[in-house]
Amino acid sequence: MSRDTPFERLVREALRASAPPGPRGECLDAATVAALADGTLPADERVAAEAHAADCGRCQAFLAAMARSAVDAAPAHARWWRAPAVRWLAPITAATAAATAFVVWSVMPDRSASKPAIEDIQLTQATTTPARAPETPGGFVGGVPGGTAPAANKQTLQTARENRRRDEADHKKSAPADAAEPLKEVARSDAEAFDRLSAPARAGDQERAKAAASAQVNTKAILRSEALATGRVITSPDMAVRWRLLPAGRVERSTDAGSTWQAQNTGVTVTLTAGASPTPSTCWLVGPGGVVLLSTDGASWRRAPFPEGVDLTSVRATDDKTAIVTASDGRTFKTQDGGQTWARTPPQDF
Amino acid sequence: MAGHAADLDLARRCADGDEPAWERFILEYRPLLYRAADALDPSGGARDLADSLYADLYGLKEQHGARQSLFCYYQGRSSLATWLRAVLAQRFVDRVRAGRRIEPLPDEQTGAGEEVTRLAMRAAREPNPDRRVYLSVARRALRLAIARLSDRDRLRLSLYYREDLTLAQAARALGEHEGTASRQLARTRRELRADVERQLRDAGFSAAQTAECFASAIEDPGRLDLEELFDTAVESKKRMADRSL
Repeated sequence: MSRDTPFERLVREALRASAPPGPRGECLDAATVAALADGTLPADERVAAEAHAADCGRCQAFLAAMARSAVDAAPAHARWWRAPAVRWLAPITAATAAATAFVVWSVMPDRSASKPAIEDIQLTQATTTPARAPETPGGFVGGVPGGTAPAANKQTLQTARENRRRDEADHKKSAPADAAEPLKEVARSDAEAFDRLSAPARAGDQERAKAAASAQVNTKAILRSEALATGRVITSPDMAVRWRLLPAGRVERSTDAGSTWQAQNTGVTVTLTAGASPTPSTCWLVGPGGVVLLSTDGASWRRAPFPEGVDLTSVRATDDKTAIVTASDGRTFKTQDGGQTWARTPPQDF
Repeated sequence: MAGHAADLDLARRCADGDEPAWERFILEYRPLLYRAADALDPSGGARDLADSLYADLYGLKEQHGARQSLFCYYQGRSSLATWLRAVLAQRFVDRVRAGRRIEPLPDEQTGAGEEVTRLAMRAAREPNPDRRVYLSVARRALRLAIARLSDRDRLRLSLYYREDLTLAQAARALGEHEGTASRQLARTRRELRADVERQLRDAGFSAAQTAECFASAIEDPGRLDLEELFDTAVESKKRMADRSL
């Protein structure tokens, strides 16, 4: 939505010209505003609070400051699944996602031949059951638990599988070997399957394109759901060292390939979304609201300042200085000084 | 409240001077408060507020021989983290507003003179003598239209345009999805515009004159008298309440 239409300018000027006087009742206190922010304020009190704030400049500023300070709070729309009416959906969605994703995984052919793709790396993030998953240092572990898939999905995936094989054959003929940087190699091993699914179809082959697109959408949706429902594992180049992302900002580290886990204090309360570990002692984590965390000793975490409060969905890193993060709106930001400063960068810059 | 029992317990123990509880609180919540302070003032100017909060939370002040901890005001209606942010945000806003009140006012003589000169210059090059009338009418109609909005719509509009929150922040403040906030803002703008047009039409303005009113107001939105605007809102609501009784 543009904020620059002439009529919007007129409205903004009207509202900014002076503080709105004449509020009804007493100003909102911290407990009320906090409950409003957490969504725990009873409906009648919420209505009364909004009625007051609508005409009170101080309380508008208070609410605005509260919204601005919510750097680590999950956005309101992220809490929809906590509603009692839909809470039962979570396990069902998780089970369906796991079952269908298993079929996706099982029908994937040899992973060694496909063009590198880094855009969807976050979609292939791991589950807590990496038994079937080839592990990839510096990024997430692939793989999902087993199960059965609905017949419709099998049909779609079978079509996608055939398409992928044809694409693979085409790609082997036409695509030169990519003299990629190490990170692209990492990205390839994690993302290639879905990249193949999302590879554009050749001109004139609309059926294939449609099937591939359908499979891509299904797969992404499934893995997004699955990723939400399970923890995520980040494996360092030393396979024994791993981090596991859990809800509410909790992070655990394993130094014995996942046999045991030790909780670590990150200082954040949002559920982190992605991570990358370029060395056994270095790990980058990102999350909603511009949260970027960096550990350079494998044990403690520090928050790296990030210029925007956007939701971050993936991170790639080469060491403890250089990393590139992707925001939910597709923009990418790069740091070369350990997260102290960030610059916008095209996705292929890495 | 049951969901915040652990937070409430921690707050109670901190208020009672339980040292391990206080240490845990510092460990877990200090980073959060500092991040919130930095979000409020990226230059770091709000960190002193966060620091001063600790003194009040710890209860350095005494009343009748007993420590008075700010934790006593936490009743578990929200998470402890959100409540702490709210206390910090409240203090930050009050400090900013207090700072504005003590800022020196501009030289009234010079300001008034400049305003007269500016208006005179504008009048001299005004090609349409009716423009000022159009401008005045459009502003008045907009004031009335804003006053007629529902509380929630007016609050959303104010948070987005007056407080300059992002769409996501405004949505978060109102506990709604960003997409919902976007749609509601678009609807509110449409309603405002339709209301203004209806008022002008009822006042006998032709379509061309209505367009001229918008053009004049948009070209020079000026500074509206918001006191009049919001007085109008309050009075309008009072009239509606009286009618409903």
